[in-house]
Amino acid sequence: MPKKTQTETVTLTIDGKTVTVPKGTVAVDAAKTVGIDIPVFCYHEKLGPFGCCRMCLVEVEKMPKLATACTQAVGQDMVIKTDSPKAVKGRQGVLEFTLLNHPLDCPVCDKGGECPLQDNTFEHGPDLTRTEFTRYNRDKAVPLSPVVTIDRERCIACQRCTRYSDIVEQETALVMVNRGFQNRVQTFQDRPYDTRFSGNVVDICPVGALTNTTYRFKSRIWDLDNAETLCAHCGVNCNIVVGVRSNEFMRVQAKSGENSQANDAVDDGWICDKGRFGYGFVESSNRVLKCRNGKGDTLEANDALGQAATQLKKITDEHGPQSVGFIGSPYGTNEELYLYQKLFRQQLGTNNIDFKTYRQTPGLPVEHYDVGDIETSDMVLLIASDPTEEAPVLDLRIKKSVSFFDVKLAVLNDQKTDMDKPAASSLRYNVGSEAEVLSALIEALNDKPVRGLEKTAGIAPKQIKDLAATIQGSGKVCVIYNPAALTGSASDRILELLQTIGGLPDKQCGAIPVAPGTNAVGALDMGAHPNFYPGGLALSDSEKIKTLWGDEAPLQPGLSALEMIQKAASGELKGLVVFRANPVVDFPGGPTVAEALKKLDYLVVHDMLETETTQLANLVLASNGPGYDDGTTTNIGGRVQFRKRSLVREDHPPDWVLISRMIRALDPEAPSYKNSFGVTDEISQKVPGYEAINKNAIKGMGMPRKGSACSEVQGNGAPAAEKSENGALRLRVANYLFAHDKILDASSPLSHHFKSSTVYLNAEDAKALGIETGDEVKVVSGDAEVSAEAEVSDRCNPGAALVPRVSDEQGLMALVGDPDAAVWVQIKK
Amino acid sequence: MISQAFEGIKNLLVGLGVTFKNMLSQPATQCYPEVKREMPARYRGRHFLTRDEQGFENCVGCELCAINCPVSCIHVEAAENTEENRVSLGERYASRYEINLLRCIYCGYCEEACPEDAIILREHYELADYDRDVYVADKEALLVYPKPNEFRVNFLGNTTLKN
Ligand code: SF4
Ligand code: SF4
Ligand code: SF4
Ligand code: SF4
Ligand code: FES
Repeated sequence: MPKKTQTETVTLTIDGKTVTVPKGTVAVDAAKTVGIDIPVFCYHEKLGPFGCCRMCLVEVEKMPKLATACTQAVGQDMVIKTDSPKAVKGRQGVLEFTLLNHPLDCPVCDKGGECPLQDNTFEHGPDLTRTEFTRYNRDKAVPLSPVVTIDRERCIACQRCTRYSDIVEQETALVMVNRGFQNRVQTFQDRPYDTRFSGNVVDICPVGALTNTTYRFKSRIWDLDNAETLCAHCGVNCNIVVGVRSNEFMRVQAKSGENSQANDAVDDGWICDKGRFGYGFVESSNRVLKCRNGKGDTLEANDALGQAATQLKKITDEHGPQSVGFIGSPYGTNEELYLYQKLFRQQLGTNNIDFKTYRQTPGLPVEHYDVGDIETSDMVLLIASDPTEEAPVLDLRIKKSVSFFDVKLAVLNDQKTDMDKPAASSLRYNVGSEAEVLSALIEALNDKPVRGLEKTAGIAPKQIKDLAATIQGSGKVCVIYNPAALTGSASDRILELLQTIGGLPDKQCGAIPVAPGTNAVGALDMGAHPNFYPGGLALSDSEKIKTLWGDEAPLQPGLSALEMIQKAASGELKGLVVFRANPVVDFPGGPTVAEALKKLDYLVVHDMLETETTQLANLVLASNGPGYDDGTTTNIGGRVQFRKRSLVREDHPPDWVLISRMIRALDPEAPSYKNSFGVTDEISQKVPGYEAINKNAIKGMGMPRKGSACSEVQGNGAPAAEKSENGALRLRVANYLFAHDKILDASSPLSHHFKSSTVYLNAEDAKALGIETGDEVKVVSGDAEVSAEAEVSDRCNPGAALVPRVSDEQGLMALVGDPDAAVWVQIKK
Repeated sequence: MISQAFEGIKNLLVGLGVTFKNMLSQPATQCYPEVKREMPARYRGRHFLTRDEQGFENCVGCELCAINCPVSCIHVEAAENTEENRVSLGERYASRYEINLLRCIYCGYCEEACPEDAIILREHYELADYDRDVYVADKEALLVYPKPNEFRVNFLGNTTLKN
């Protein structure tokens, strides 16, 4: 892979055309720039040259033999002929060999119609076959995992898949064993190939050897209506292509070089298995298809939204605007969240708007980096984030940057993650001590002496100093952090840290906040925050707010999501709209949240799947959700992209229509929109930072919005660490990508990834408690308890119990009280 | 003048000759429907799906017929054969196979495209019916295999055969 910064160029001739390309480019890519297509199998631009299949033979003047264009780096004045009789004959011969034992499976092969082997044979192969003997038979349809099937007869041993596993996902999970006729792609000891990124091999396999089990025989590719759209799981917003046949979901592919232009600014052409195989929710039997009231009577969408709007208005008229609130979701689109905040601020006059349970304010004191900036950084500082579980494709990008672009990775986390492997340095602080560690790092960066941290954070001052020195020594620093995993005042400390790094001499610094959810960045930008208007306008900015939103715009600080729950419990909050969120399971408190919601006079739940929360609702509004609705989302890198619908529902309006009709029910003057881009256009007028965003601007690759500046970074000084009481351990809730929730339900093809509840304990604590790996234990906090299997490991430092959220049934959030305060748990056998 | 009259009489006799010849020869018309015409072997009439000697369906649900059909009147959905439920000898079979015979232009491209000789157009040309719905021929209607020139009186509803 040539470095992106390569500036030297060479000029050569290919088929009589003059080409100038950066030095180090291989002939295949050079030819592509002038529209000459050299056929390949083993070569893949993201994997680099390999040269094992010989499909790309070309004639190079002054070379005695044909050369492989995929490994041939071009040189000055080189003359390459791709269509000389010698080259044509050479390629014909290669194809004859490749097809020697290839089964005549095209009619029943899932790759048929989009198969490079078919295409290359058609264009470059011999007209007639000379191999009319019985072919060598091998195993067909062997499952490599529950979602990937291999047909050994069809494999042409190009090794794309094994190299992908080696170079891109860096798991070396697939290898080529044996030689000659007998060679085959295999996993270690034939274990299932179940990495987080296994599905990508289906896209890159140039034949139908590796196929998507969930798509097996479901349709032929020419039946499909393909929609280039976005994954709706995590914040990376990977570009995917959803294939639909007769309005029925068929498959997901990565938008990559195989079918379109990959979006290198987002996903580099790869997606994770959750994105590929976790799409079953669009046809889940658990979907909310019709609106209904609390008694279960079905309502027409228009009646239901009218009822919701008038009822909420009635409550504000009786009890004041502070008596209603909105809990949104980082899974909504910008349009949906924008319209909801508009409804609540303009029509209902309240700032009780939120979408999260952690602390975060919009805006960064440094630049908001795009995902692509990781590659060009000198250093990546990863704080409290576990990309492998939280934003998988980010994991690939970081590994790529470390392996191929010499990016230094420093990890600062309270748990062991997969990112420790590529990291140049990795510090593990005690659970809950992030504020202190960040304070110490800031001091070190300011060349102040660092206080002792061993006791409280488990990190030596020297380690902090070394890290500070690395940061100081790097030109471009990209800080990636998970705001949801920062407790207490760490959410302020991280901003202070960014400001400090950004303020160092000769330093470029940017940050990528990786919060859970598809559109957490967009949600903040759209003003789903009790203290900020869209575009990060703080309530104190009343002048600007008034010009944009009118003199009536409420300026009284609103309630955060958790405060709304508290006020609901105390009876002060009367009406609440919950949009695509499931507080009963996902919010701290668990069952107590349900109690609070039951006290509300009026609970509207607007969701696409039945949840524990829809069960409590006085009115359920059906949401079509991703797959069915158009909209834009803003990814972790601040890039706004269009999430096009792939499926159509004619019997229910899209969410943006539904919400805008609610607004119109209260204000007949309010605009109605022709399509979702109508809302996008309004956003571009009303949301600072989104001025340039419109339909055409974000077409294809999307476009970064301008990040808002950060309001003043608060305070200084490290907080005193909270002390544990009678041997209790501090709880750390970790994430697991394939959690068994409403999205990945029991019928999901990914159900083999579901895990049982596990608590990770450090050996020291386990010994003190007399617990061994495999023991059934209870994790207890107050009245709440969660059963789990103990695993003794070094995943976290002593003094903590780490429990990944693996399912909704686990009930883990019941253990958590106020997320700002430490949660202490007892482990009981 | 005389030669002109002679020419006229000659032409009259030639014409009458044709008339007399045809008066005595067999008529070309047939008394349809009492008598049904034998069609040439490659006539493109109604479609049928074939089976192999063991009774398995030949169709593997590859949809090549469907993509090749110029009027898109074939709809195929495929499924995988299992040991318990083997429908065809290949890996897959057509779980649904429908031809809209009203839209079909009887071009035979589907037969041409089929890699398994599974769909064939035969000499059966009696395609009239009283009900439009029966013209979407499904697998059940297509998997029958009448003898050559063995016509059904009524092409879908009534399965009695006329000899
Ligand atoms: S399985 Fe596919 S990608 Fe892997 S070596 Fe075989 S042909 Fe290449
Ligand atoms: S990394 Fe995130 S956005 Fe990308 S495919 Fe996976 S879940 Fe979807
Ligand atoms: S005969 Fe022609 S028009 Fe009729 S189904 Fe076959 S391909 Fe289609
Ligand atoms: S009839 Fe022939 S071409 Fe059509 S799906 Fe069946 S096997 Fe394929
Ligand atoms: S593509 Fe060049 S050798 Fe395989």
